Amino acid sequence: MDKEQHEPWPTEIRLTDEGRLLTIAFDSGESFALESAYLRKMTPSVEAKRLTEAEREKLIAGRSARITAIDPIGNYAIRPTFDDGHSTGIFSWTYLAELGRKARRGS
Amino acid sequence: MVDESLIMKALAGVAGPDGKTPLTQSGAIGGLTQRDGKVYLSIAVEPSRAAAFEPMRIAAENALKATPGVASALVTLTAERAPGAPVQPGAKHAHPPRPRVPESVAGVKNIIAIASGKGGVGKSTTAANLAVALAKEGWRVGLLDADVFGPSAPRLFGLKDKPKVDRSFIVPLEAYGVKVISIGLLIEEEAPVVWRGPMVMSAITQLLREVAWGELDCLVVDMPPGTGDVQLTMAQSAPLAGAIIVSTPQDLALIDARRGVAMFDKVKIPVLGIIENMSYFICPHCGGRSDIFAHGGARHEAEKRNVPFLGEVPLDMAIRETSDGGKPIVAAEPDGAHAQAYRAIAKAVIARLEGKPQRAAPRIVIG
Repeated sequence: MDKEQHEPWPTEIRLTDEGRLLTIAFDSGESFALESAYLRKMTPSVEAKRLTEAEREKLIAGRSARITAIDPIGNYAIRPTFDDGHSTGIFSWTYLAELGRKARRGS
Repeated sequence: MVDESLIMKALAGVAGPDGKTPLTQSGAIGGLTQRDGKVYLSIAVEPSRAAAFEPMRIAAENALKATPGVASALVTLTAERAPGAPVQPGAKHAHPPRPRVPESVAGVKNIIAIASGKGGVGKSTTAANLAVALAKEGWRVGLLDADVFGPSAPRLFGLKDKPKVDRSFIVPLEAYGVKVISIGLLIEEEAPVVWRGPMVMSAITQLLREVAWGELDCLVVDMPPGTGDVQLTMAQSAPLAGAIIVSTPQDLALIDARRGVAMFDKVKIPVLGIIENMSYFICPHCGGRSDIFAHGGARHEAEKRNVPFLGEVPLDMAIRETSDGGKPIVAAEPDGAHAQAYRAIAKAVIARLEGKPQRAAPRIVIG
C-alpha cells in the first residue's frame, strides 16, 4: 500500500468568500485556493466531458458561479453544488490537487 | 369571512420561534389565507430545527381553532433560509446539510466490506463466519447482508423472524453474538427480487441508514458479487474502513478478484486483504489432498498486488453443512480446525484495523 501513501490526502476543505473560494489543505503541507468559477469550468461531470475549452468557458461567462453546498462522497471525493444548479461533478482528492497545481502554474 | 383582527389577537397569544416574542411580532408569519371559515397559516422556521418548532405549530393551530368563526385551521412550518445565511440567488433548492456519517452507523467504529469479483466463491459463508469469529474476539459485531438479489444471511444464521421496527428504525436480529440484517428478512425466502438499478440502490441506502445498529466495533457488509452499482453506492454512502476480497485459487476467479481490488483502489478504500476460499480439499475417505481449484493463487495474487494475504479456508463438507444448517462453523465447532482458520483471519483483520489508524476524512468548513 505504499502507493497510497504518496497520494495527496486532504485535511481540510474550506469554503469562503460566500462560496467563491475553495481552499484545500493536503497532508503533504500543500494548500490550494481554487476559485469556484474555475471549479465549475473544470467540472469532471460526464455531461461536460465532451465540451471544448471555449464551451467550458461559456459555462461561467460573466458569472462568479458560487458553490452553495458540498457533499462528501465516501472516502475519496466531494460533490459541490453550484448556484446554477450543477451538482453532478465528483471531485476526487487527486483531481483537486491536480487542479490546484495547474492553477498555480497559471495555465 | 373571519375578522382578521380576531385571528391576529389569537396568534398574539402564541409565543414565536424564540419562545417569548408573540408570533404576530416575530416576523415569522409567512402567509395567512382563509376561505369559508378555513384558515391556513405558514410559519417560517430554520429547516434544521423544524422538529423543535412542532409544539409552536400545534399551539398556533389550537389558538386559531378557538377563534370565533374559524371552522378549521391548518398551520404549516415552512423552511426558510437561516437568518443571516448568505442569500443564494439562482439556487433552485436549498440542500439541508447532510451529515457525513448516517445517524444509524454513527456508533459503528469500522465498516468493512466483504467482496468478490465473481459469485459462487463462498463470500457470504466467509462473511458470516468472519463476523462470528470477530464476535468471539470480544468485538461487538453487525452483519449487513447487502446481496439484494441473493440474500443468504437469514439461512446462514438460521433466522426466520421478521425484524421489528422501533421509532422508524429497523431493529436487527441477533444470532451467535452478531446483529444481522438482510433484505431476505424483509421479504419471503422464495420471492424473487426483480428490481431495476435505482430500486436496488435505495434499498441499500435504506439498509445502511435505517437500521438501529447501536454501538459496534465492526459492521461486516456482505456485498453482492461484482463491481457495479451496488458496490459503488456502498463506497459512496458510507465511510468504509476497508474491504476484504474473497476468491477461489482458480485463475478464472482471480481475474475478477483483481477487478475488485482495482475498484476499491479507485474509491480510496484500503483493501485489508485477500482470503483464499476452497483452497484445497481433504478427502474424508482416504485423507488425500486435492487442489480442486489449484492452490495458492490468491496468495500469489495478493503479493503481486501488494495487499496482505489473510488466510486460506479449505473446501469442506462440514463448512457447507453448518452453513446450510443455519449455524456457521465458527459457532458450531468453535475449536475445530476450520473455525481456527476463520479465527486466525479475524485476528489478522482486527490487527489491521487497530494497527493502521484510518485516515480521517477532511473537515469541510463553510464560511
